[in-house]
Amino acid sequence: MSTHLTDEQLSARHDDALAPRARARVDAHLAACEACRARLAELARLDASLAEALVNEPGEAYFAGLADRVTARVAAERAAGAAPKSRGRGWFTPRVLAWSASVAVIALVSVLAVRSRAPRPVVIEQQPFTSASEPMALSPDAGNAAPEVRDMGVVSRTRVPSGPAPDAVATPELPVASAEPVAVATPASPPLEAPVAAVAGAADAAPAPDAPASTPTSAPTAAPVAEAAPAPSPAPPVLIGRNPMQGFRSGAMKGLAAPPPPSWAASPAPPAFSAVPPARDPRCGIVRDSRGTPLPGAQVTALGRTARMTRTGRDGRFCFDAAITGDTLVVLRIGFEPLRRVVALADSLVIELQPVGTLSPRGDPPGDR
Amino acid sequence: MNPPVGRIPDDGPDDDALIAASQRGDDAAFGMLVRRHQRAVHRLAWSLTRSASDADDLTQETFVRAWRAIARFELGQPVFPWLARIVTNTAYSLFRHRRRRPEQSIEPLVEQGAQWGVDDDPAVHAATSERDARLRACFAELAPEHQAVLALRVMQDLSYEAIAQALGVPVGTVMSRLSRARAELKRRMAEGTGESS
Repeated sequence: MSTHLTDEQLSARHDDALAPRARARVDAHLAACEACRARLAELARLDASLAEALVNEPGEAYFAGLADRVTARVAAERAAGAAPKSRGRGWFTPRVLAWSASVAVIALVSVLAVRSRAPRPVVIEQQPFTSASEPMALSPDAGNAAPEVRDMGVVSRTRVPSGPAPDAVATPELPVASAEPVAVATPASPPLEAPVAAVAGAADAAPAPDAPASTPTSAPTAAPVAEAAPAPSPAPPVLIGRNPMQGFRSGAMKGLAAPPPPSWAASPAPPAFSAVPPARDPRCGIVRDSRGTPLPGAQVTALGRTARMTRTGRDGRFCFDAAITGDTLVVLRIGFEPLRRVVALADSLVIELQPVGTLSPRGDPPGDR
Repeated sequence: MNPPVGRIPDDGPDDDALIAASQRGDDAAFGMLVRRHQRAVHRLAWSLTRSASDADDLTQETFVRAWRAIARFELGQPVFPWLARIVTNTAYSLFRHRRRRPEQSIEPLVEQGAQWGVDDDPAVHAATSERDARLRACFAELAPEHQAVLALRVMQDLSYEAIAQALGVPVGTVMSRLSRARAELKRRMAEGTGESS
């Protein structure tokens, strides 16, 4: 007699899954081999016992409600916005969706952070803007922004304006891009809603009764500044269309225009420095609190053509692997006000965060308590 | 291919028509599809979990996932292997999540007790119950892929081709897995009774 059938042959014969020729050979062996017939019978008994052991009948009542429970869940998912996935899902894989959501959250947090502290200036230490021609560029090729900084009369040593992105992105002839910086630095800048509303056609924009809404191309804010710091052109090109954060405000947000200029902003700007240090692209910086204590674990995001994120180390320092000049830097840390600023060439990137509440006498960061 | 065990024949639209309607957003058609296959799906789910609550969760989750993916279902294909694939994949996820295979639960014993007829012999029931419990315990110790292939073959009576479709493996793999699963189950049963295999 030939060798016995294998387990696989017996299993397949039991399931009647053999090809005709293979089955004929197996059957011929079984006809002559009692041992293999016994194994086959044992295998059949095992299957039958397993089928009995694994049977479960929950009852008609269970099945009567099962479909309703399933359709209720489906309806809930549909109500929540879910829908059956389409066949072409190339861009809608969970990985892509998660990445997109992360970017969206970063952008949203950045916008909210900016909105929550609209006209507040950012303190820059150690590395002042020392040249009237030093560009405050939103991107490395935004050299035409240089007069903008100077003409706005921004205190070049200590203050760089920060604020929400302007509205009139598509209207370079309008001075609205410098809306908030100008509002900080000039004594009597006109309401900016009028040109914004005129551009966007937003009917709900707040009217400006005494504003020269019909003269959107004029640059009334540049005049007082020009007295303090002579400018090569009275209405310089504006910083628009470079930063992805700009132009974010929708028509519904048009009413949230820049607040009227504070009284202290009427003081003349100090003269610009004349020394011109070599410009450099900043990549590293430090985040600390108002007492100068380094803040570890702060999230630092550079929003440019791409979004890059890093965190500060124990010494409060952070670095990016490439220059971030022109990017919008968003710094977040628990217990501190979010900070957003545009990175200019030669920025020292010493970032000082303001605590949400009051620092403890010991100076411990609120987030570490 | 034979319809899976537990599939209730009815006079309604065929599966393709229900799938097509579901793809167009007809929830009633999807509900009909659920009713048509719920017993077979639950049977497979219970085989893999041996727990009433887990089987219920698994059955519901299977149909919800089927609804999410129904737009990708190719009309003309048998429905149950597709559902069985979702059941097994979801069960694998459940096993991985728990980092262990499901423990023997007393729920099936209690539920089976409710099915005993009043005329049955208690002694026979006791012996059968002991054997079934041991079988379930040995089955639970098998690798998940061996449990799945055995459940699809023994409990659902699916052909090798349908099992291959459900598990996403070649037919030859189904054949070898079934053989190994049966041999392993037999070995474990023999170890439990002290017999030599």
